[in-house]
Amino acid sequence: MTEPVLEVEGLTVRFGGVVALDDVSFAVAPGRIHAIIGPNGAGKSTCFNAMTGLYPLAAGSVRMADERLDLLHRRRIIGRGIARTFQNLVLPESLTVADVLRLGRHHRTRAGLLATALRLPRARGERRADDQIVRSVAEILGLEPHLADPVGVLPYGLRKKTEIARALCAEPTVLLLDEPVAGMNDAESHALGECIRECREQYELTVLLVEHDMELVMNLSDHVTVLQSGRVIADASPQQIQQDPVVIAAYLGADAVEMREEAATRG
Amino acid sequence: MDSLLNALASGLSLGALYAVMALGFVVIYRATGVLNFAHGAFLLVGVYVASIVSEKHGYPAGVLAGLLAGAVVAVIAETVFLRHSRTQDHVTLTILTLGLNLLVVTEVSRRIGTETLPLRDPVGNEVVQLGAITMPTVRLIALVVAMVAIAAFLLLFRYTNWGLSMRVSNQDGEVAALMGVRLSVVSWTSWAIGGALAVLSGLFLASFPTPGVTPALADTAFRAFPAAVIGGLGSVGGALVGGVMLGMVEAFAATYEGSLGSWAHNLSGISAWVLLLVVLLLRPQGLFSARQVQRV
Repeated sequence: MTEPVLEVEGLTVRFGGVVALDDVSFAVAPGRIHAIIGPNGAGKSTCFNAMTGLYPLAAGSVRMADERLDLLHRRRIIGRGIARTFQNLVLPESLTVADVLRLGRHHRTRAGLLATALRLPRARGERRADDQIVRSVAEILGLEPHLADPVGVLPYGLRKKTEIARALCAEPTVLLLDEPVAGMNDAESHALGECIRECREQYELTVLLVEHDMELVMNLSDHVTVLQSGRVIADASPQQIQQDPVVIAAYLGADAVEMREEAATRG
Repeated sequence: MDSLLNALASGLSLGALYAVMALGFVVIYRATGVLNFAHGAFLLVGVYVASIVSEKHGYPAGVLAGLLAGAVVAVIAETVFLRHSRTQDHVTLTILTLGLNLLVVTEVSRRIGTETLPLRDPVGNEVVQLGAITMPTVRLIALVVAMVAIAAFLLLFRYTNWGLSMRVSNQDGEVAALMGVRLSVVSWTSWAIGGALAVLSGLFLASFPTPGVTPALADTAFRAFPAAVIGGLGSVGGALVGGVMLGMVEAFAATYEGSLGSWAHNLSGISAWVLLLVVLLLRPQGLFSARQVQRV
C-alpha cells in the first residue's frame, strides 16, 4: 500500500461518561474515495468533527504527512489541505452563492484589508485568480447559473452542492463529505456521486465520505471503514464489506457473534 | 414651505449621523451577536478625549485622538469582558454591556462635572444659506462626512475578505473557522470600527448648535438602537435607512411641536420611540430584515 495521505490512530472522544469514539484507527490512501459507514450513532460525524478540531480528543492522533493535525488550531486545518462539508447544511442564507464560494478562498488570500481597499495590483490579481477558481468549481457542480442568487432561495439539492463547492474552492488535498446525498432521491444521489468522482479526477482529490446511502457507497468508494458504537468493526474493500457477517449483523441488528460462528461452521 | 425645507435638510443631516451610529451598532451585532448597549460610553469617551486633546493640539488632532479612543475602548471591552468571558451566551453579554455603559458614563461624567466642554472646531457657529434653507455649516459637513464614511464602509463590507468574514462569522463560527477565518480578528476589528463610528457621529452631535460635550451626549447613542431595529436588526442597509428615518422624524417633530399644542411639547425627544412602536406594529421584523429570502 502506498503511503497514506491521512492517518487516524487510536482516536478517542468522550462526552462526559459517554465514549463516542473508542480507539478508532484507519488510514486513507491518496487519490481514493474512502467511505465511513455505520448505523446511526456509530460516531461517523463525531469522527469528522474530531478530525477537524471541533471536538477535543481524549486520546489518539490525526496525521497528515507526518504532521499532527490534532495539535493545530481548527483554523489552521484548512491550510494543511483539509476541507469539509457538514451533515446539516451550514450556509448563511443571505449570502450569494458566489460569496459563499469565495469564503472557500479565504485561507489562501494574502492581500490585507488595506491592499484590497486600495486595489493594489497584487490584490486585484489575487481576486481575479479567486474568481476563476470559483467559476470553474461552480461549473463542475452545475452551480454557475446560480452564482448571483442568495443561498436562501436555492432548493435543497443545490444548497448541498454549494456546500461541497465551498470546500472545493479551498483547493484541498483531502475532501471530507458528511452525508452529501442525505435527503436526495435516487437519481439525484446518483448524479451527485458521478459529480464527486469527476471532482476527484479534476482536482486530484482524496475523498473521505460519511454516508448512509449504501448503493452510493458501494458504487463510489475504493475502501470502506465500518463503525459501530464508536469502534471500527471492519476496514476493507466494498466487496469484502458486503460479505462481512459482522457488518451485516451490525446493520440487521442480529447477534454478531452468532453470525460469525455460523459463517465459520459453514466455511 | 421654508420651515418644511429646513426640517428636511436638518433631518437629513441628523439622520445621516444616526445612520453612522446605528451602523456601528449593527457592525458589532453582525460580527459577534452582541447588542452593544455600551455604544453611548464609547461615544462619550471619544468625544471627551477629542475635547481634551483639541485644547492643546488643535481640532484635527483632537478628532483623530477621539476616534482612536473610541476604537480602543471598544476593543478593550471586547477583549477583556466579552471574548474571554466564560459565558458565550449573547443575552448575558448584552446585559454585561449595559453595566459597562453605566460604569464608563458615570466616570466620564464625574470628570466632566457640570461643565460643557468645547470641541474647538474651526467652523464654529457659522451657518450656510442654500436657497430657502439655512443650516449650521457643521451639519452640512456632517452630512458629507457621514455619507463618505458610510460609502467607505459599504465598499469594505461588500468587496473585501474582511467584509465577507464579518458577514459569516456570527452565523457560522465553526464553518468560518474551518475556512481559515480568524474569528478573534473579525471580532476585535468590528468592535473597533463600531466604537470609532459612534465617536464620529458623537463629534458632530456635540458641535453647533449643540453647545459642547456634556454627559447627556451618551444618551443620544440610544437613538442607534431604535434605528437598527426599525431597519431590521442585523441588516446594514436597514440601519442606514432606519437612521435617516429617525433623523427626519425628529427634525419634523422639532420644527412643528411648538404649533401642535401642549401634548407635543417634547415630541422630538420621544419621536424615535414612537416611530419604533409604529414600525414594529406594522412590520415586526423591521423594514429590511436580514433574512428576507427563504424558501421552505
